[in-house]
Amino acid sequence: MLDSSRGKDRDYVQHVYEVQIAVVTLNTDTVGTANLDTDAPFLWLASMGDTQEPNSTTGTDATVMVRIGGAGGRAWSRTPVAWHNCLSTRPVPVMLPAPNLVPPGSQFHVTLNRKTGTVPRTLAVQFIGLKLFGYGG
Amino acid sequence: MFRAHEWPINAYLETTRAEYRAAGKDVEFLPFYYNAEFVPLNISVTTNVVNTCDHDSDFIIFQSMQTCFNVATGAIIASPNCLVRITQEVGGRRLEDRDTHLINIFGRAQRPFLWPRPLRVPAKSSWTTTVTSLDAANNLNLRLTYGGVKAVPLVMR
Repeated sequence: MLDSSRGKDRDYVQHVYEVQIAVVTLNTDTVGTANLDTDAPFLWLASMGDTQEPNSTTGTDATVMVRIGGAGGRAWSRTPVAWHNCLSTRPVPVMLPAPNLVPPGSQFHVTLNRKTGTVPRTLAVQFIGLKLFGYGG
Repeated sequence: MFRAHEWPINAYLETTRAEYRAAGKDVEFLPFYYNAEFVPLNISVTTNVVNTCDHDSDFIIFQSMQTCFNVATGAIIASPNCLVRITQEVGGRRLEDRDTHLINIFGRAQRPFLWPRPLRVPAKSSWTTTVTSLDAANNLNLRLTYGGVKAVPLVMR
């Protein structure tokens, strides 16, 4: 609103990017990607995961590696992170330790490795944040 | 819906940035995780994992998380019966007076254990996580995660 009153064409809108990964084989890296829109940078604030597990007591024995910018992109950790250590299910999302600004046209590259459990199953990782219109891109 | 103290991240970042500025440095924060994996952690065994901070930047620990599965059944164990000890540098400063029960200082992603004060691990230095299983029946796959930020140095303007 302040920007608008100054005549600047800026806005920020909640946005969610989702990566769906169909896991077919246990103990195998499976990759999924989401390409970011080119109209605005994305301020990544929080994450969630959806496992479609029929029984919440089962848990999801999997590890997750997220890279920004593709397979050789900037990693979010030294080694893949356990699912329950970095993702949550509704209603409370996991807030990142710090906001992460992702350039427009970049890519969320997610590598999932399911250790145990039922396969095939499609798991989804959501990246929640703000599109920053008018801030470049 | 949410209470303010459940979201102390801004306070952590501001505190950390102020400390760097007081030292004449300007930094950019990059969210990052380090893992200590005990795969497996066998019955009544004590094991160490050493994490070495990357050379490019300090790591500031804000939070800690744990996930544990029964090796034999694949079932998740919400409250693993383990003790944990965290030591800065090898043979250095300990963060507890005695080994602490794991679930008292490690949460889960949805509700991580939030450290009372961010802990700065300087670039190239290390910390050791020592876990002792008190479970007399099950071998465990225990994965611990330290969440925080990399403090990437910026050139002072």
